[in-house]
Amino acid sequence: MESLNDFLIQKPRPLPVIIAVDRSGSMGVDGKIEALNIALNNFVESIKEEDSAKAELHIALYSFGGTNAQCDLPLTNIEQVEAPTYTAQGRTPMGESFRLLKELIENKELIPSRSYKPTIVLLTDGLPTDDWQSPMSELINEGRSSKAFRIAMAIGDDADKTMLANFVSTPEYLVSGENARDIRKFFRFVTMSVTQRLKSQTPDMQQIPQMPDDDTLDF
Amino acid sequence: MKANIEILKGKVRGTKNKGIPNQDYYQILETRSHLILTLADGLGSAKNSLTGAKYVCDTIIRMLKNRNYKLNDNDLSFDIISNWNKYISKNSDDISDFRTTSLFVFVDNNSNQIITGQLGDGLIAIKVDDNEIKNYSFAKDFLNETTCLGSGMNERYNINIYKYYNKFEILLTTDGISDDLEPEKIPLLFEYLKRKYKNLDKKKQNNELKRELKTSMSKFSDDKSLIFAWTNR
Repeated sequence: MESLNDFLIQKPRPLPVIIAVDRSGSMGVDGKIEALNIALNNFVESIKEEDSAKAELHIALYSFGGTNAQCDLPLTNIEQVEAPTYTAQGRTPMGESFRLLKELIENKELIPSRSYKPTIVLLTDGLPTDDWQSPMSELINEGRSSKAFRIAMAIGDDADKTMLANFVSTPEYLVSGENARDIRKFFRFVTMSVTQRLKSQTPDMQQIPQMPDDDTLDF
Repeated sequence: MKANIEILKGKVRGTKNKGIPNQDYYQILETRSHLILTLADGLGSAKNSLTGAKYVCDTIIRMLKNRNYKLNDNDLSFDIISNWNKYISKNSDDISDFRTTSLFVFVDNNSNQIITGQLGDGLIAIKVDDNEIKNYSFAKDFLNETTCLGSGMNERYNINIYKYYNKFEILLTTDGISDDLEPEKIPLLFEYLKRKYKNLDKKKQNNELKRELKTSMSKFSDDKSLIFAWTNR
């Protein structure tokens, strides 16, 4: 029988989460890349258990290291996501990753206008080794991408905290850490932030969860 | 009006915290010589947005029912906005508490002219005579964002003018409906609404529409409003 439903898009509204991680050579020290791989996997598996009739989580994964930045997973429904395994090597072409993120978010076919605002998650332990100022400025100040929520983790003393403080959309979204354990804690924070948005009546209102305590970690 | 016009209208409150009313508002005026449809969606983040929505609908009807009003695009947009601003500023220090979108359609039977105006999101879709349907919706980047009255930014109505000879069909909705409508199905929606509702009496029409709005779109939490007017010859 005919009804108004027949004229509506039946799928839940997309909620994009775009993750960009550092896989440069320094991430190979002190178990950081191994912690990243475990944390990413846990994040994906935890989020799969969340349910929302209103929003459908889509994940994209980018990484920068070696000689380039690349897309490791195009925007994909969380149900079909398997987290990749990274190895650490080479330099830190973060600027190139900003360009790739910008390209994705400006694409209205991949992220239609009925989507909730994307969340960008950036993790790095060092300084960018390419031209990053203009790509970052365009990402955070211009066009659709300027409206995304931006969370970042600075690992260790070599990360450029000033740059990352400019990158994030609010100071509470910059997390500093020292070691592998902190990487996994950060991804618990990201999980909580994304889950809050999924469950909220107003997913596009900024929501800042508490950083998880160490004793809630399960490793 | 000379033609026999059917007007279908309905609104339902979205799923939100208790105590927050439906912040959509509409007002319709039909006389022998003209038809004015107004629809406004008060912003959820603005505590007095329902008042803002009511006042812009009142303002538009008050201005347009004076048939001698000079309908120049810029003048009309400017006059609605400045009238609204003046009233709100007289009654409050913070105009942003009253933020609202605004849609309207004015049909003048004497000149056979239709004027549409849109400030903010939602949908106006219009068919005159046997021409194709024209849709206007605010080009969003993402959900939950819009220009609006009271923001101090990009406050200007998008005005369009049509001539009709014989008949018209007009659909207005707030974003609670337009965000999830398949654009290519709008012509079919027009046919569906006419087919389903033309033989119902007024009270049954509006009650049934309200029921449909509640049940069809329950998974999305926005307030939802729809006005559909068509000539029924």
